[in-house]
Amino acid sequence: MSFSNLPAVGNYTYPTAVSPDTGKSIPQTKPLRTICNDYKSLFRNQYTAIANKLLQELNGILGLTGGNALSVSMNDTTFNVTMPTTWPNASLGDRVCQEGNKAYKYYLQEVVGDLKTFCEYIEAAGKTFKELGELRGNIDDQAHVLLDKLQCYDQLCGEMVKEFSKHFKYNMDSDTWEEACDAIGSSSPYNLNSQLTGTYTSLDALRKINVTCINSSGPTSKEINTFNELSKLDKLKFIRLYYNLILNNNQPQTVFPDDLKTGYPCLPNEVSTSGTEDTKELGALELFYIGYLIDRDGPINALSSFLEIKTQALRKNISLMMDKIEALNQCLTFINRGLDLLNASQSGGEKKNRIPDAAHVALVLFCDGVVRGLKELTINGKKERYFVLQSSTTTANGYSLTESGKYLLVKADTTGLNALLGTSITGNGNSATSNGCEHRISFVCENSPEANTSDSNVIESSSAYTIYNGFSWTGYFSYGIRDCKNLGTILLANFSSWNSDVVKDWLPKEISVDRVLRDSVLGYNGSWVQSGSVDANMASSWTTAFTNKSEYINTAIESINNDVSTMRTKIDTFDSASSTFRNRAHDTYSGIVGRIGG
Amino acid sequence: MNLYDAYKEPGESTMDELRKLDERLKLLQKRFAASKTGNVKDSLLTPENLKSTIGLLRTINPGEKNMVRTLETLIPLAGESDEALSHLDSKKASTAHHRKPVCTPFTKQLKCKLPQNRLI
Repeated sequence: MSFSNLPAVGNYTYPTAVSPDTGKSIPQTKPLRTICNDYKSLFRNQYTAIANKLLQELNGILGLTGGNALSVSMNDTTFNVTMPTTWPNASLGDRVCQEGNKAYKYYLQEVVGDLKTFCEYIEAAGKTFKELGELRGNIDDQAHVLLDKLQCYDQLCGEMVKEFSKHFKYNMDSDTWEEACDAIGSSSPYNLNSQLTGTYTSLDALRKINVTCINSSGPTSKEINTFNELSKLDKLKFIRLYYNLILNNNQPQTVFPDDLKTGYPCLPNEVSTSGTEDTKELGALELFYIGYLIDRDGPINALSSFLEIKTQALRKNISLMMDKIEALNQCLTFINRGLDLLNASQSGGEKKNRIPDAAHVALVLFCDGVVRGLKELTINGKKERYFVLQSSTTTANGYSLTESGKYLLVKADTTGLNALLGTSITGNGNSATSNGCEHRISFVCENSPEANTSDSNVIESSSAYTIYNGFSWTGYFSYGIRDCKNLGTILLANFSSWNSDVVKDWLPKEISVDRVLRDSVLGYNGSWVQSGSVDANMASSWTTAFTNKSEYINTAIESINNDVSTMRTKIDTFDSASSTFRNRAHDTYSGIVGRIGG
Repeated sequence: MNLYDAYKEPGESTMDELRKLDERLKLLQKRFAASKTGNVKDSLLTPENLKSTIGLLRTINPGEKNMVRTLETLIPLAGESDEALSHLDSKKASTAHHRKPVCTPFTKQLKCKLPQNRLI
């Protein structure tokens, strides 16, 4: 676009500039063509360059390359850049705790929103230049209107640049953070003043950034905990780096409570990285999460928000503890059903050649199996909780994963109990044949469901796993009720990769309950199909196994009780702090109102 | 022998204790939520009051940058309904400064609002 039709001579007085020294407007008297060229140079050489530099930074943070990379140009075509508002790699986003994800998206949307607006201003300026180039005839009045528009876009772009260059610098002399907004002049249009420079190989390094500080003896650097003082882009970069370190370098993602769906990013006093131990205490919230609360709710509400979140975290932890106790209590009912049916099977002479399948399943899955918390799934729009069971265990990184990648999900209520154990007192025991109970469990858990899902439906699926319902289960449990087609009572989760982080994140944590080894039970390996093979000693051994497991469950509940005591102490502290805090908050607000003068 | 009846008591009493703790936490949460500005008497939160506050803060406490910034974001919302004010933590506050390009001819009114701090 050129302005050849505009007069190259003559004088227009137009307030095109503000003196950076005096802050006063300098009326400029120039030919119209010169003024237009000044503006064009400004938008093309400064604002477009700065916007592209910002987009380039965003591309770097989000890992956008090639055709996905974002850029803007000032031309005559319609500007159309699709800005991402979530993790470019969805599977990565799934593995970030939900609260951390919220913080990330908050800053992503803010940065994207601002950049999009910035680019729209540049595009609008481009259109105005085109209109200026097309002016004909008596152009004075029309040109003036268009120049007014350009001045408006110029001011708005200037505000955007200020938004992105604003950060805080630590003054070592006064121990305060001072707002800094380094000028982006024509000589250094690419200086974005990032404080997050260098390579971060650990979360600890990221938590203590080496920043340039103000010092009377000259600029110096210092390692310091900082987040809120960073620029807008740096905040986004910080969170992205934080999760990149976790996801790419297998660093622990610690949340409290210990559940990626409900937990808050924190630095617990005792870090748990195993699949068996929970993070016991809340500890400190991560710096970036506190920063997010401050930005989201405003500094004036920061303390309220902070304590509110901590209280919420404790409530969510209570919910997890209740789930664990519910899991343990339900576990008791399943073991009890096994014992009931065992006793019933021994009450009539002709039945003594059988240990019921139900007792066998209870022994293998509940007494010797891994006990986990309950898994919540949504079935037909309704939330249901399930035991996650496995036929055999293999330990990988302390998570007790199955090498088949398959887990049996049984609804943790009476319908699940009836579907899995039923009420039958018959059974084939642990015979080596395909009718053997354990063989059948193993077959389902380790070889199915591929061959047996013709009549099943998929409850939930992702690239990492599929959860089936209603697979052909009755063929393997020919005795008893086993109404597995009764929607949602027994499901099967099948992971494509058994030892992946997805499995570890998906599985509920184990509850430490001592096992009763199946081999320790008399007659476990016996063949019970012959008449009279179950004697009093054998029945007693099974009864002892079920009773012992119930004792171990009680011990686990006692352990949870100790955690409850610790939590009660913390809540007492919060309770007393809340009164003090309310007074302080009230004083602060009253102070502001007082300064207004009523 | 019924194992469930014999062993259910510790679990049930722990559940009771947890429910009580949850109730206490629920009350605490309410207290903290009540401390937020969104719940403070909002008749005081007028644009004029906020502007005066910002002016005063800048004079008597220039270091209070964060507070000033927060109050500035409240100004466009201060004239709105109580409902809007009770959601000051929403995206609205954070995106209040996002303005669409103004494509009308130059107006003095707009010019007054824009910071004149840039050198062409």
